[in-house]
Amino acid sequence: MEGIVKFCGGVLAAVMAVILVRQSKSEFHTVVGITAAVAAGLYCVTLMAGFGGTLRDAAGRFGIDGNDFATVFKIIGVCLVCDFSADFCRESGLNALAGNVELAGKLAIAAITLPLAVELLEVTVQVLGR
Amino acid sequence: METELIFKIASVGIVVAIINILLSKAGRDEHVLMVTIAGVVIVLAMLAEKILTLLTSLQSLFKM
Repeated sequence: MEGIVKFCGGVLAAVMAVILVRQSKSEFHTVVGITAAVAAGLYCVTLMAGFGGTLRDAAGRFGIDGNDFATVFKIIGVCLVCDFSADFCRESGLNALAGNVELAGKLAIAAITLPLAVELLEVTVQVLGR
Repeated sequence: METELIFKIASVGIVVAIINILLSKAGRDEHVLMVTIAGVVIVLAMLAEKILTLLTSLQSLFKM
């Protein structure tokens, strides 16, 4: 509870800093905004680090394959990395680059998921009895 | 959350803006561009370090 209050206070202070720097008509406000986003992202990563072990334990207890769980976890990581990068591009005014980063992320996720999709198709074919 | 880096970068931005105004008032317009570029490079170096930290921590957390 205390942590999230501190976090929100820090974010609001960063917004004030960005507004302050924007008055000087320099291009630094973009950099300040991206720095604030990186700092906020680092805080979110430290929060997520606490969940990882618990989720893995829970998945093991309910009989979910560890390999499948690792795939899902990896996809979440790819999503976050691409989302952060695309947001930084968009913040700097490079919309086309942001679109390409998102496309690359989708392709990377498709590449990770493809073996699982093939496995699902195999199971389906087995059930159909061919 | 590391707010001190945000404020450090914001203060660099304000200082660079003030130096730019002083230099252009003093008639040294040729130095304004150099000061701006130096400020941006310093700030981007600080930012690149933090982005690297973010990406490596994400990579180690999600075992990519």
